[in-house]
Amino acid sequence: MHLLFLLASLYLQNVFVFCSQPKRVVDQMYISFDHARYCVRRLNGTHEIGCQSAIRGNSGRMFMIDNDEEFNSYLNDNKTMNSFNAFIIVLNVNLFDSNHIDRLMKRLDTKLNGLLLYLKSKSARPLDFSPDDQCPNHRNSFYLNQTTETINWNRHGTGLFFRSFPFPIMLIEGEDDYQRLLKFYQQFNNSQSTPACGLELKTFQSAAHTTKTCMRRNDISHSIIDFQETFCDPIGGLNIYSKLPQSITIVPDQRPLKSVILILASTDSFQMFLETKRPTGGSQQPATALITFLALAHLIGQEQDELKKQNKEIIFVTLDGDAMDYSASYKFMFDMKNGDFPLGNKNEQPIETKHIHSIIEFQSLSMNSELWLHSYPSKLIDQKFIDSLIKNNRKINKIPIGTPLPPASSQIFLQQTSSSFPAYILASINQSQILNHYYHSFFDDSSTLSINISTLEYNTTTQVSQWIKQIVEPFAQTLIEWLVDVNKTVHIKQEIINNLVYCILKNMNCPLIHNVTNQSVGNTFQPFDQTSMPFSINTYPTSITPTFPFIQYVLGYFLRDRSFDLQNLTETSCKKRADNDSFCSYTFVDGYLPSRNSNNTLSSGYCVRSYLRSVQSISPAFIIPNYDLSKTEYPTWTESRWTTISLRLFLIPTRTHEIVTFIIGMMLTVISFFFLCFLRYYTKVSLLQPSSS
Amino acid sequence: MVSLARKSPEERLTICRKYYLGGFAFLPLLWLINFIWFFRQAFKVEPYPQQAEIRKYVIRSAIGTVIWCIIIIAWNIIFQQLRTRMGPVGDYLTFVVPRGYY
Repeated sequence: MHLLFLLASLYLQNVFVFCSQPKRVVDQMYISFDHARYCVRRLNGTHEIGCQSAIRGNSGRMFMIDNDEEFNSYLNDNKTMNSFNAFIIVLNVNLFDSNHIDRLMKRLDTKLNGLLLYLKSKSARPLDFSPDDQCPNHRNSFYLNQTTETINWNRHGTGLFFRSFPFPIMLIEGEDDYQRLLKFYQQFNNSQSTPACGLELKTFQSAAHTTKTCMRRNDISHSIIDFQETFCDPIGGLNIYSKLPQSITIVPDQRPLKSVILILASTDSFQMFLETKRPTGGSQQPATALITFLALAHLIGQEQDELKKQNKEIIFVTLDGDAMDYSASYKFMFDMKNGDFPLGNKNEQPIETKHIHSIIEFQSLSMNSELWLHSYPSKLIDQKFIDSLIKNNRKINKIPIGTPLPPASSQIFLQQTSSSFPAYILASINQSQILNHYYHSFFDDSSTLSINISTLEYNTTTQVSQWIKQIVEPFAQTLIEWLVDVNKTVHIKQEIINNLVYCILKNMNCPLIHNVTNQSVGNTFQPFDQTSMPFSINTYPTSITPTFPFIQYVLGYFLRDRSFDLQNLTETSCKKRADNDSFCSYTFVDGYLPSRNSNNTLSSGYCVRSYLRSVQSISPAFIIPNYDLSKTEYPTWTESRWTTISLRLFLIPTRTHEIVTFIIGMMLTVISFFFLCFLRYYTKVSLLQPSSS
Repeated sequence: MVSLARKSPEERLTICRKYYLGGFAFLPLLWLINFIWFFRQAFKVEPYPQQAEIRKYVIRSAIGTVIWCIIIIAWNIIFQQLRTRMGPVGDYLTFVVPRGYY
């Protein structure tokens, strides 16, 4: 009888479990926002910057501030201020500047448990937003110990990126996320009697204090625990360089003095708020300059027969890590001084300072009607080059002699070589300020270049691709005029720039990269589908970005030995060549049609001979053995590691509600005790002991 | 643990001495055990010839334990207070390195 009853009740229980929708209590308690951007911890030799939460997250009562008026009334509202111990302030991104943040931190002190910024809609973005310093990279500039007046190039910079906050800061940019947040806030925040909204921000960071401490802790491992924990990674990616393969100087040939022209562009930027696998910004700095740089490489490759007539080598160099105190440039100069430039084959004559003729850099291009050419030092600059550049391109203006150089990698090249060669910087920076209003922030996206990213196709002619064509053609023409002394009009197909714009601004997994690589490399791009603009701080090889392989293959292809294309090698003989030649690289590709000579017959594939080198661009501070990381000779930036990022909304019940719940809980416990005693006393069945019946 | 009552007085003395001497090998717990285990034999039972010596070892074990306790507690306090100020030494002495904090 008892057994039957037990079985029946078990069956009923099962039916009940299957019929009801299984839902975890935690899912009903919290509403998560999955696309929040967050600020992380970064360290240098002496300081830590950025923000972090406690390991279990920071939570507090949500308070929304939309404008200056609300901000002031909130700061004066003592009643609200005293009602809770912890606040998460939800702030309009327009109010995110040092003035507002300082006032908030001073007034709330330890009660400020976190900050959530919101963007109301795409059209509501601030007119200027830059968390970088007003004078970017001033800690390691060429003018560091000089008496030159400092120019605030980034006039709208708040410097908040370089401050350390004791609480987490996150940002929501989606309009639907904002509406959702607002709906709950308005529903529950009307009076003191109803429950209030609470927010929980979780951005715990592993690293702390300084790079020196952190790197030391990375090295500590105890043999008892198997794994070694890494707390932070040095910032840096790859410095990539390529040139026409015909111009290799092999020992015992001597490289003539002043025979190398370096063309520079950077491949990184930074943002205070990031989110993995989402757009990062970096359109005007560095993407536009990078596209111009690649287009120029194509033109140089296209006109290689012309350039054979002279003896200067043009080397294209991309630097990664210069947004944070020029660490890539320091590494490049360090390699050069140690005879490691170019890297790879020992039989190749190294390039030293004395071999450099001049450097040309593309920086921060903003699609304005005007451009500026900065140059230094005045006694070495070649007026002929400047004059012919300005003659060929009316957009370009000359900066008066004596004006300090804007933030650019060239500063470090000059600083490390005591200005022994001239540097020319082409930038959308006039003599007093950077024209990019969103310098080093995530607002620096393709919309600032009048591109609608969702409708951009692989071969759409956009305003920016036309603009780049207008810049790069006269530039290549000037280079040929300057070096070969020939007046020649050069043309680049608009399609090539359109394709580069699409690949770099929208999707690096584009037809171009598949055309210029073999299938196995092309396949590695598949996971990067739709991850546009990966221009952030890199910690290579811990974090992987498609930028480096993209630049390597495209640059290598554009600067290929075009006469070699016609050799009609098979895939196997191409591979054999690669194994036997340690100076050049050989790739069997399908080919990128717009870049091929028109008289070429179409074939199913051909072997490409190119010259390509790359080297890790972390600061020399991490390479020199026993270097004291607290010294400031070289930059020592590291980025912390993190595991969980989350932003959740929940309800904070009223005090009465909490007390009632507590009392009911206590009563239930007591009652169940009595109930059990009662059952034990009156029933004979015991599940623990064998039944007596 | 063997019941001491069943051992002869000589055997009890030998065990007690072994524990006492063993404690000098940086094993304060051995002294603590010695003290607790032989406490009754040293002070509470009917006197017997070896008791005086057992008592000596038990008292010395107790003193050793106290000294060790003081050392361990003092080091604990010093380490917790001065870990960050010790710089690299502090990190190398730490077994579980704190994440996210100095």
